[in-house]
Amino acid sequence: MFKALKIREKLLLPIVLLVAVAIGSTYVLVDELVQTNAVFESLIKTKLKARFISKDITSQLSEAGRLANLLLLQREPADFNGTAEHLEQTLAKIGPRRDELRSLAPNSDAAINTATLALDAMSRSVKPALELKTARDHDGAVTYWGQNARSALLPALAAMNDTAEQLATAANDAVAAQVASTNDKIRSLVITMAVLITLIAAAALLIVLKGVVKPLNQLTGKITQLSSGDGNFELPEAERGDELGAMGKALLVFRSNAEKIKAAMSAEAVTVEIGEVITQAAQNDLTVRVNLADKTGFLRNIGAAINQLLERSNATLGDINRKTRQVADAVSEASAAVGQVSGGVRAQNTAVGQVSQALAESATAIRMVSTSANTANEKGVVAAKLVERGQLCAEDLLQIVEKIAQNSRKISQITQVIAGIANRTHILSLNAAIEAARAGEHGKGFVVVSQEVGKLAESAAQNAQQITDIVEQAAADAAAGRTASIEVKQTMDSIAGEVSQTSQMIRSIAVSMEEQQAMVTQIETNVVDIRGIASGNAVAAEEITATMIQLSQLATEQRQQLDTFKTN
Amino acid sequence: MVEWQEPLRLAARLTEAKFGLSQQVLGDRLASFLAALSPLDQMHLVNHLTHVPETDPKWQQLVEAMLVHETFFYRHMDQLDVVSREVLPLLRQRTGGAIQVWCAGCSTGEEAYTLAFLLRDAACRGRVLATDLSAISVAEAEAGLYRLRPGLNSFRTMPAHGWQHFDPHPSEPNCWSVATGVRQSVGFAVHNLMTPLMLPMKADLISCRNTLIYFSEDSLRQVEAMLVAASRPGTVLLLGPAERLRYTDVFVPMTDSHPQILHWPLPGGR
Repeated sequence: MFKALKIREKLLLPIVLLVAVAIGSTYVLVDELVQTNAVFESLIKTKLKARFISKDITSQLSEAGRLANLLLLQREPADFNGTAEHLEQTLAKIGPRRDELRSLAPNSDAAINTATLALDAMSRSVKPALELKTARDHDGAVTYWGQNARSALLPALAAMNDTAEQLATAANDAVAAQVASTNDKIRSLVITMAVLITLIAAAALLIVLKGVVKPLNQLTGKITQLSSGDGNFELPEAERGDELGAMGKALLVFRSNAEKIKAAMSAEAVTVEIGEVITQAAQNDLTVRVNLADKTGFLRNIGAAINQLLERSNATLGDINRKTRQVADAVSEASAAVGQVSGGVRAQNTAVGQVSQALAESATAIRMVSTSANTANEKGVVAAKLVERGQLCAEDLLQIVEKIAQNSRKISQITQVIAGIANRTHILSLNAAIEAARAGEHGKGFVVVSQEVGKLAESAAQNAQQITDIVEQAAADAAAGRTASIEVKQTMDSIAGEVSQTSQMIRSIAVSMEEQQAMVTQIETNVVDIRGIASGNAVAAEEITATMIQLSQLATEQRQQLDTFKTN
Repeated sequence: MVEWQEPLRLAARLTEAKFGLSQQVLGDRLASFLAALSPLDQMHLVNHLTHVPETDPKWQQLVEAMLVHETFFYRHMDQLDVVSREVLPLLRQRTGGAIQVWCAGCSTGEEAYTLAFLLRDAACRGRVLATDLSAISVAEAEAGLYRLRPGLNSFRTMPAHGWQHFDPHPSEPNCWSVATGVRQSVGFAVHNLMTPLMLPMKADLISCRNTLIYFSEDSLRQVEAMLVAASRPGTVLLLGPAERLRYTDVFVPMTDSHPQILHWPLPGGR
């Protein structure tokens, strides 16, 4: 509630109080002075007027005394009658003044009575004195006046002077009393005012100290803190409704501005950092990243977005790189393969050409075969006859072989005899050698002979063995020859049967060869077609090869372009 | 081995210099051509080729052996569809209907005729100039006779509506001739893409499909210069699927519908 009041309003309260106090005190003061004035006015109207009247009465009385003395001195009737008239007039004035004084100063009855006595004495004494005067009894007049009037005049004058004195003193006292009272009142008023003003001033000071200076100091402290760059403080002042609240709110704005400036300054550094990352990325290095650890706010978002972009570009380029590599490899492989196909198809083309040629040749061959088949048919008949002769020859052959077998057995027996002789000769040569040794010096020549005989026997035995082996082989061969001859004979017999069948078959071959010839002609036309197809394939394959080479170059260039990007 | 390879190397260098033929692509053909000759004959041939102009019969023989005449009607239909749909209407509007077409590397004429068919179908009065290095192929193309052989024949991807441009051969079965009207709109000539085109023509549409693939890297510079020389701003260039221009940036992709349709942009817009 108090905090919601503005400083102006807070200070207005003591000021209003001060003004009220001032107005009140002035009013009281003025009232007091007015009263005093009224008192003075009444004093003047009563006491001082009464004093003046008593003085006036005194002077009238003195005038009357002087006129009476003048009257008494004058000798001429005209003079003393005139003075008597003047004296009567003067006495006539005193009567009303005495009545006025009585009403104004009721306490002075004694003095008034004395004056009345003197007045009455003088008024009564004028006519007798004048009559004495007229009668020219001047001394009598003086004596009469002296006796009747003069004695009353002096106490009256004294009484009137006293009254005047008393009234003056009373007036002085009243004024003094009134001034003292007014002074008292003004003093007390001033003291009250001073106390009030002091209290109000103290209250105002308290208000200023408590409601302005203290929060102002706090705010100043916070502003100082903020100016040093530390915006970390609470600002309850901002919720105040007064000027300090406005200041607090302004400080809040300052703080947010300061934070913004701080953020902007750190943002600049971060922007430069991000810029460097972007520059590096622009130079095809996709491995760089913005360090997000020390960043906040939208720059962090931007950094994250850039990182994401780089990440994706990196991944995509890496992926493209791999795929391009794969494509390049595949294209290169396909290029090689198509090149091989191309070569293969060219070879196939050549081969088909050769087949075509071969087919033409085989057509010729088949024609020749057909002719030959007819010839063969005729030859078949001749062959049958030849086979018959062959049968006879085979029988002769069998007999010859059997004879060879018998001869072989005989040779074998002879060879066994030769082997026995050789054995015995060998033993003899050994004996001869023993005997020759015994003969000593004389047997030396015989030793040589016996050795030669031994060698001979050995050679004979070996030859005999060889002959035995050969003969045994010959016997076995003869047996095989016999079997073969028998087979030949049987074969010849069956050939004889087959030859007639063959003859028949050759005739049918001749027929089918003619059919073949027709078929080969058909195949020849087909092969021409195939050759055309193969040739078309070859051409297409070669164009594909050329295209593949271009593609391969494209893929390689693409790969080289991609390789300029640094990825991971 | 060395003496056997030497003529091959020389012949390869010669063919590349004269005709721009890539040895990477056509080396096998050259090798097999030479392999049929004895080493001595090979040397004689190379010596002969070194000193005679390219019109020499020996050169013709060698070139014929090296060239790959792969072509058929309505090849790369996807590209031709875009040409019919987007390119021809534009060219017709720009030229008033008389569209100049150059088919560079026409082989046996199928592609040139296909372009003529497209022009007809689009109601254009254009003419097609078709050139090829092979005199034999050009003669075949001029004859305009195509046989429906088994295997990869000229009609392998023929759409049904294409047949309207053919007349059956009067005597030979499975043989078709290109309709006379179409044939009159196509002219053929022998031309080496490494030399300037004799007709000083500025083509509105150049089709050079699957031709650049047979040229070596270095000779492509000359070929591309030839293509540019025969073009003017607005000229459309058709390339084969794997081809691209390496040395000129005059031609840029024309449409998003097909990447291999390029054009020389007109100043200030299309």
